[in-house]
Amino acid sequence: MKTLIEIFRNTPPGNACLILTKNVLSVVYGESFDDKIDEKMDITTKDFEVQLHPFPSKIAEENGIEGAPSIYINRKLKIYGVISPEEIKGLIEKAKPVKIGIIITKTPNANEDVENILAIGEEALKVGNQVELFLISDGVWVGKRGNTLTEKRLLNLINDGCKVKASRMHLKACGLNKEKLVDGVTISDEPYEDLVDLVMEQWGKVVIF
Amino acid sequence: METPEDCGDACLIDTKKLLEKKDSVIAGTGSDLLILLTEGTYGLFDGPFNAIQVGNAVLATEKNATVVLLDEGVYFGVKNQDPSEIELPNNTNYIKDFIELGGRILALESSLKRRGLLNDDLIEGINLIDHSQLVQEIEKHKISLTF
Amino acid sequence: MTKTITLLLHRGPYESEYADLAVNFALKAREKGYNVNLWLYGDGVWTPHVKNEKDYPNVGEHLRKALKDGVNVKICSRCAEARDVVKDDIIEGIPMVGLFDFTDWLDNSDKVLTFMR
Repeated sequence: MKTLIEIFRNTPPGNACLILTKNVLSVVYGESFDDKIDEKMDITTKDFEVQLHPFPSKIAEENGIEGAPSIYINRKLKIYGVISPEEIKGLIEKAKPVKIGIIITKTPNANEDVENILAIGEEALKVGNQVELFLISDGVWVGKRGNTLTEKRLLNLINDGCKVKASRMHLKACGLNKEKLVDGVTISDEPYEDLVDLVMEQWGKVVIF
Repeated sequence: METPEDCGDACLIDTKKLLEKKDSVIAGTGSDLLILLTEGTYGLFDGPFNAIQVGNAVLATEKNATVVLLDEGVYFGVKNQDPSEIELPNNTNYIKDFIELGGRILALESSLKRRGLLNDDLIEGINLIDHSQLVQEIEKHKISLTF
Repeated sequence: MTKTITLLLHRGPYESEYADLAVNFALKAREKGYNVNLWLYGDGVWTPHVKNEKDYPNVGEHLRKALKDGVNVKICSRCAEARDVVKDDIIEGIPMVGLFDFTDWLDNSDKVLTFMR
């Protein structure tokens, strides 16, 4: 996943704005950075997408940017003022998107769990993280089509890129099947196999409810 | 039942001893633990009790720990608890130790509100967060336990 | 380096599926070559109390297999003592230890899962 760096600069960009731009570019290009580069255009490399925005502007306002020069990394971290390439590198590390896996073992209507999980998913996606839900044990009921508490929000999450998998053997135990699930919920034929792989290799963070 | 008097082995955290050596506790090193506490009533006392024991043990080993009270877990942080007549250990003591040892306790505001509770109803030192801050806590900590 | 997972089981056998989920996860993770720790906490200490053979599948049998396969299993001694779960009554080869054994596991784990919620 590319790191998105948005640079907000005054119009026309003053000295501070230009230095910040250079510092960002030196991080983006690494050793092949040419000090004489004076980029005025957006840049896309293998690892980075750099966008230059004027300040003030509509996009600055929409993202709650309050001054320039400033950078906004992965729509997650805002930093105002001129910072060094080393500091930028550190912040990029901090703003890396995380893949959050949530294992759900409970039915949706008995308590607050599932509402909190859906909210965690929504908020995590908003800041550029990836989210995956794994429904196992009684958690398979969370995938049920028509549940007035969860269906709409679950569909929205799926549309926003959240993957949802449900354990085949637990679906079967509960008399559920693909037709009875919200569109987009996929079935894990080997739930323990899949879950171990997700937890150990795929997910950066895991939470279980 | 697992009152402090019952045991007296290393499994129960002696926070008094820990407090004496508090100055030597260095925060911010090692792997950080997030405890999501979703139960907090005396009716289901064993889970929350065991959760805070883990939290205090982690702090004792000079690591960081954060407890987030959510769902029924918010009851755990309520002021003026006195379970002496139902013969259970008082949660409040363990929470106070946890905070004094440098642990952070947070409570999910929406869970609090829907139960008719306010910030003032909670033990001092517990801060409120929303769901977006909860995501940040999940991101920030290496591992999480749910009780 | 081989990755490590620590599982915490806080529910007893039969009352819910959590003991089965924890042990099944442990078996699969071990099969795939990971280091696996299983901490029996709270009512989780009853799980190795299911000791005798039964004519139906049971979590004790799976736990014995997990031990044989190299899953590290430890019992919270305080929780065991409170419930009078003693060494002679449980599956062999599971030490009863203090909570700091668990925090040591946490320190050296890549991932952790709780089975109670």
